[in-house]
Amino acid sequence: MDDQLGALTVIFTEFYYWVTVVFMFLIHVGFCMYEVGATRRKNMMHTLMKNTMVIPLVTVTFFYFGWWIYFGWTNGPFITGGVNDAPWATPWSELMGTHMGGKPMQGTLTADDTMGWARINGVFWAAFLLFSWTAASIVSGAVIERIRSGAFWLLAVLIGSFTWIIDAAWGWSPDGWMVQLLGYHDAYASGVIHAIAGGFALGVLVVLGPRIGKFRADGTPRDIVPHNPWLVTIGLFLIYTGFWGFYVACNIPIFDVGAAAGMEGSFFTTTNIYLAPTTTSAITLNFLMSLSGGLMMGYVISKGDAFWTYSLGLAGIIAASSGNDLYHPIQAMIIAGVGAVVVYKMHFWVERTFKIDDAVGAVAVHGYGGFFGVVIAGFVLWGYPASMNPDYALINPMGQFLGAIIMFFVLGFVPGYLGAYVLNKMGVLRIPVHVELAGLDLAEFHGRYMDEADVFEAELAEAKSRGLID
Amino acid sequence: MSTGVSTWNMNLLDIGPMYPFPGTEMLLAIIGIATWVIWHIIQMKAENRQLIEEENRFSDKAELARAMRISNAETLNEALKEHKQGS
Repeated sequence: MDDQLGALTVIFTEFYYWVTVVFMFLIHVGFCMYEVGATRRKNMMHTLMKNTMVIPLVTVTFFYFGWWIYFGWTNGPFITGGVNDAPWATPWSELMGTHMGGKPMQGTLTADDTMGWARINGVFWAAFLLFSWTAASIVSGAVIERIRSGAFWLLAVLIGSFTWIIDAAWGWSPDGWMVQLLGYHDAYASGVIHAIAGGFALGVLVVLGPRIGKFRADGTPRDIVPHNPWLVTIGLFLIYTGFWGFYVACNIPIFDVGAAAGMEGSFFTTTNIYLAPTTTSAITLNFLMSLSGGLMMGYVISKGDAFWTYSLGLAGIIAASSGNDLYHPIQAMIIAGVGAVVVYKMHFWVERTFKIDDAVGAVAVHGYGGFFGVVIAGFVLWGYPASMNPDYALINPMGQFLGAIIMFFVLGFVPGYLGAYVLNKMGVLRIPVHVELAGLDLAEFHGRYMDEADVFEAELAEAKSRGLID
Repeated sequence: MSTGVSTWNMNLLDIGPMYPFPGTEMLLAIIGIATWVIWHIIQMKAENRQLIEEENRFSDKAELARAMRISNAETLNEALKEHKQGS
């Protein structure tokens, strides 16, 4: 920090990630609005609080162990090596607190560690943390109106601070074993956030079961309509907005890739998470074109249905996200449009065939959209390097397909199913039937609702006594 | 006496951790993790207790039917009407 250009680079990078965090906060605001809007009136506050408490619970656990897993488990462990040392990421590290970057106090750290991480650790941690909230929040929408809050919060910690960050260590890190061996490429997290969260939600839904009344006796589904479609769409708009922060948070803003490329001099550029070059312009073009592809196809296929048009706009971005660091914008738009069709058709097919009640289409938009995005990148980017290391595998269809399976099933569906199964066996997964029928808000906030009615009666009496009404 | 930094009049490049009581990080981590675990235990016990109470209350058929009418009411007036009928 004693030369201006070096300090400027460090402090710009610190500020850059801070801005991404603020943007990504809007994703959670959007998810809360979206879920509350999609909920029936009788369950609104329960839905809101269920998702709100994801924030503190995933935050503290991501501090305690999530951040360390990202650096510690890139080898599996025991697939390409053992557990890595990551002394800047343990919850007892001095670098997980206010630090000026000087000589380390703890013997496990070096001067390079403190100089490199002091100003970046907190904001980089927070950027990853906001992804963690997103993963948990995706699951939250699918299970509304019948899951117990306490059970959901344990599941939220399971995906938000454990399974998703394992997949990030494996497939969203320059030296993750999936990158090394499979050539896995997922620049903007089609698989590492969306497919895993969709798969996890599906695993939970299989155990949790549908809401009462969702399916008729003959098995055909009823449409449980959002109590406030306007809130749903504004929520999705906010998720789009937050997605800008999500995209740039997946990049390193200024990095010298010259040495890794074998150049004699420096070459400073923006990179993706694999430290391979891209530009912010590229991802801006591709973000907007894939959003457009999803919206256009979503409008046509859903015949202008607002809920599905918005959702498929999001699905379009997700479907193109794996390769949006490299695609041409029109390729991104086409992939997004095809992805939107896959998502829409799969949602209704799975709903009809397996009687899965995914209240907000989260499994489809995130799960199937993310799976599709990872797989399609294997074909379109076939032969591209997955990282700067020439010894690692190239991007290829089989590697991406296996990667999608790992994300959706191995780290998504299986932990979600097992977690829900254990909670169900303990009798703490689902709201009792009487309470579900009565409405979760009436049950939890009974006194408040009765007070509201009493206050209204008192106001009427007061107005009458003053002669203001008859 | 100082709980951490005692002066800024020094070579700032030498400053490492700036929070109070450096050296207590492990203890803080243990307290933090214990707090998280205890929070879940308290929350789940409270939720279970509350749901059992609510389940018992709504086991009464008339009470459940009334609750369903109130909670599915579209407006406060509708809910008030149901509330009055029940009281």
